[in-house]
Amino acid sequence: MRLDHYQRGVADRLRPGAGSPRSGREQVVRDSVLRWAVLQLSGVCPTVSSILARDDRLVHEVALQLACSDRPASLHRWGLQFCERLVADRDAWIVWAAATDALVLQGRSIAMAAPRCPGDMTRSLQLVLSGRDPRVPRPTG
Amino acid sequence: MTDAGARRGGPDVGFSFEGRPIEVLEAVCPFVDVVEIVPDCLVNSCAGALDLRWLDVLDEHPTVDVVYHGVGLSLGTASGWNDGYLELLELVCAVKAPRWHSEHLGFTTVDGHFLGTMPALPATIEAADLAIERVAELQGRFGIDVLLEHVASPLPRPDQMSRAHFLNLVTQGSGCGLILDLHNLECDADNGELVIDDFLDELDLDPVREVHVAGGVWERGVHLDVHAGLPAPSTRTLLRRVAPRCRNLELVVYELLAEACTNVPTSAIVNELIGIGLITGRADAA
Repeated sequence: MRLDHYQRGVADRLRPGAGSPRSGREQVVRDSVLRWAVLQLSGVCPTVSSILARDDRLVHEVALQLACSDRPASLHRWGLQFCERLVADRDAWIVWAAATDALVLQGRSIAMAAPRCPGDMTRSLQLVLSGRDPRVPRPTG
Repeated sequence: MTDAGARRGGPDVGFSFEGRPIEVLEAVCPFVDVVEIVPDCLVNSCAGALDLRWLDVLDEHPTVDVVYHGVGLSLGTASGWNDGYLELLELVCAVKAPRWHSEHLGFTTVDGHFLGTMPALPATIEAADLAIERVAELQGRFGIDVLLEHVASPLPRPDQMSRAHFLNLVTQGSGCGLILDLHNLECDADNGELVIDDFLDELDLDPVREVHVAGGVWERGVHLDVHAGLPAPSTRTLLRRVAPRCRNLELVVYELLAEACTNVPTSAIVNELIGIGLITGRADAA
């Protein structure tokens, strides 16, 4: 088997959605790739990852990212791709969080260019940073 | 190695550093001769820019050397390696000249797509020829010694020869040095890919200039080469057996992922480095 054929075969088999794994080992490697991807994207896109995780969507969305695009070696660029896909999400909170992370990755000011936050932006960012859900209503009274 | 004991004649001791946490680098520097730096990890993923704070730490330890250990080049990709990595390597070499540069006999990208893991090159003539050609390119471009490391992978490979014979072909054909990664050997052995004693008997150990030790993880019966903790006792035993057989061995590196530095106390890392020095004869017990 030619080397390039072998390598393209490996790349195809490791993508989520590439069909059933050929062996338990292949499944272990696929799972490992997904787990690392979740960890890495959570590190560079912390706001949107936090909200996705609260909705039990994070692993699914990372798997979609692994499957739907050519992944650049640069985590910075890949994080931007992740955010760019999620700014079209149906959930306004995800749209805001993804746009916020994208601004940070682009080195742009959140204060000047952030999209409209469905809640209070400062309070929402504080809650995300402290590991809490920004969508919880503000206490009254 | 200033605090680990009186120096004897054994190989130097090193620790891997992936750009963070900087506090770990500060803590280990008095106990090592060399820091193995992964250039890919020096790019701050959030800022997309090179983070060179490690230089400030090394400036305080002028006797500590660096070696660069590449991941993102994807030396083994048949369709072409990652030129962007070479530009990064040029930058860091200009900032601090390394003792040598090392790469893996594996591939991380295929047709520009990053795999998120590093499958091993199969032991074939075509793969050996590719590795030899690319080592020559690296040596010509950077003018520094190049070492190659064999990769552990549980994925099937269309091998045409034994893994040891493959490494012998590459080192003899390119003149490069070899990194013998003891944890990689244990992973491949535990996953039924090789028999360590047979491998070591067949491998030409003269090109071995560096040895790696690390800890890994088991998942559903598969031993994965994730540098997630301290080396297992079996890895230390293997080091004790193998180091005396490698007459050109210059460096033993303990590799630990940046992510794992929060799980392994810094004192345990330092103890491991001291232990390596004692095993290899680098230092006496102080």
